[in-house]
Amino acid sequence: MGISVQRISKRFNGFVAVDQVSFEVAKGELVALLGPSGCGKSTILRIISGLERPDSGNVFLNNSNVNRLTPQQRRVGFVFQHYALFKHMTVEKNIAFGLEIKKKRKPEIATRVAELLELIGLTGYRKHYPAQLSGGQRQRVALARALASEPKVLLLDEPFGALDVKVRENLTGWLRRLHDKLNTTSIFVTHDQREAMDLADRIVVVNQGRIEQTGIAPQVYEKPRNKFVAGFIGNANVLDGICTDGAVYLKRTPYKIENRSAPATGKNGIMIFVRPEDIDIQATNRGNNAFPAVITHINYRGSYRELDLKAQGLNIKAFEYKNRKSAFSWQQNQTVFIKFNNYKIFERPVFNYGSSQKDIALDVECGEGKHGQASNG
Amino acid sequence: MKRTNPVKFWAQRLSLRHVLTGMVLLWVLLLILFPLGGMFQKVLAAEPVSCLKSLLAPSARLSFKLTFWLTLGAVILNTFFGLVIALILVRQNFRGKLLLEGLIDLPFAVSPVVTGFMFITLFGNNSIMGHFFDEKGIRIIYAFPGMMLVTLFVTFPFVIREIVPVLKEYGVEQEESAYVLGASSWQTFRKVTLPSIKWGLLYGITLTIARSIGEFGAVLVVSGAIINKTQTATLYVHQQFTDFNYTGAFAAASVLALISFVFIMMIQFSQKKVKGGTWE
Repeated sequence: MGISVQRISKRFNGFVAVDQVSFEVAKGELVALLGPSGCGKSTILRIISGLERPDSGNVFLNNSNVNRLTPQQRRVGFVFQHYALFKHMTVEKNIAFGLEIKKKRKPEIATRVAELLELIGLTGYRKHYPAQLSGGQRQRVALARALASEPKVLLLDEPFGALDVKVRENLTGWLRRLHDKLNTTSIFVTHDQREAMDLADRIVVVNQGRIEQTGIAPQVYEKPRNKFVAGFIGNANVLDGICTDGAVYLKRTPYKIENRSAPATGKNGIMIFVRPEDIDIQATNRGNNAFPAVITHINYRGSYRELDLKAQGLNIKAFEYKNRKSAFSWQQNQTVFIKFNNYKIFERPVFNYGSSQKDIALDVECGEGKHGQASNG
Repeated sequence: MKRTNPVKFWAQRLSLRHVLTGMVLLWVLLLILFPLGGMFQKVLAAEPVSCLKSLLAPSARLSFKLTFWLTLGAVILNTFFGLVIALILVRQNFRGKLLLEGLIDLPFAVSPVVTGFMFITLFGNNSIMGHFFDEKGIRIIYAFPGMMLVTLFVTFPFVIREIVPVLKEYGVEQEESAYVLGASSWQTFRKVTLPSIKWGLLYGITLTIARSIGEFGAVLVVSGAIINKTQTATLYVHQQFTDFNYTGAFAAASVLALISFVFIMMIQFSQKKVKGGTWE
């Protein structure tokens, strides 16, 4: 096991930042800690690096407990969100810093630095100061500095958070290739689900100091374990529903979603999560639990369009993708018939919306195979 | 040919910005450059030989020597403690931090003469402390230790006040990355923190030097201004002046002003160069 985190907790002045978090990262794996800002994901990373001490729990790096080791002794590579380059040192000196501290011989350092400069494609910049580089270049220098003494574990705290989109896309691809080449075990923290999906072998979704779900990208996207994951990853329409007479209805409408006996939902009703791309739009009503809606607004997004729909006072968002045969077809103010091809049902929470304890997906109890194909009658 | 009204002509060309800049320059000229120039002019008008002679007089030389040692002591001790206190203030949270911050500024707020009297009451002949040291044969008041103490007191805030904002802005990320890269606390301080706060620190030291050289009131009170014994350079200038020895007074004063001026300008220009050139 490359990295193993076991039941770590951390409080700051009574605020629970990390709450009994456990997960494992296999050797050579690249894992994303994904969550909203302030969810504790950075703290988890800092605990692994030794920069923060957990109140309880254990951290194992390559099967040895490092709880008592200082950051200096753990020998992990750490990349900070804002690069944290040494401003008064040149690119070359920055990269050589760790090696010089470890008292490596001069020629050895020079060779390694030259190697890394080539790896990050900044050979011509070795005498530059960080202030003379662009954000993307700085981040690459930070990476080279972290990699200089060949750490077995690489930790990246929002590595692309401060970069603009194009640079970010370039760097994510580059980092993925680099990771594969170096065969390190890496964890990176991000709030950007796209980045997580692009880059990671596995995604650990974190919220309020806890792990909500762990899995490969298609798992967390298509089979969210709870409301938080369903809402946080990807877009989702969240609609109130009720469950009566062996069918699922949208609340306060006559619209039936599907015939099926949903599990008992308690007195709080249910919530229906449906992704915009899972809404089928038709010009005419062909039955199949479709219901009418009016297109109130269309947002052009290039490869697809976002349609704002209104059905009996409910606002629903749907995506329309470019058809192979024709271009976009729907028009504003048109009445169409929509059908939920795929959706998830969660129990409506009693008090705390964000709490993850009681909102396990009800579908799981129903059996996964059933939903998605709307049954006829 | 159309004749232009000169008032209108200038009003159109002189913006508010120009007027304000002009006013500022004039103000600086009146307030700072004129007095400085006046003093130097006096020295230049005097005979160079008599100027030099007065500067080389034993009591003058001794007073400069005394000022030198006081300044050196203040720089060394206040740099060390200033660094430690600034680091603690920025990096640690503890009870009484606000009080400590307030106390740091106190020497700025207290008049130097009052400072002198505070030390007299603390270490004077009639005080417990004074008595204690007296029995051990150590003189504090009307001697070097007392003068050192008041100089330390009046220059105490400079280094701290110059470094604290730099440290705050600088944050801890660079230090943390040094730790992760294997650097110990001391290595991190020496190789990462210190170079980053270098200019703030140097400026603080410069102000400490300037103030140590220039201190008058507090030193006057605790030293008793004994000629050839506890007379610092500023006290010497004052004494020469009251003795109507204007040449000696102006010569010594010019040297003092020149030293401070050189230090301040050195810092000012080296800082400019660095900012334009490489980092920041």
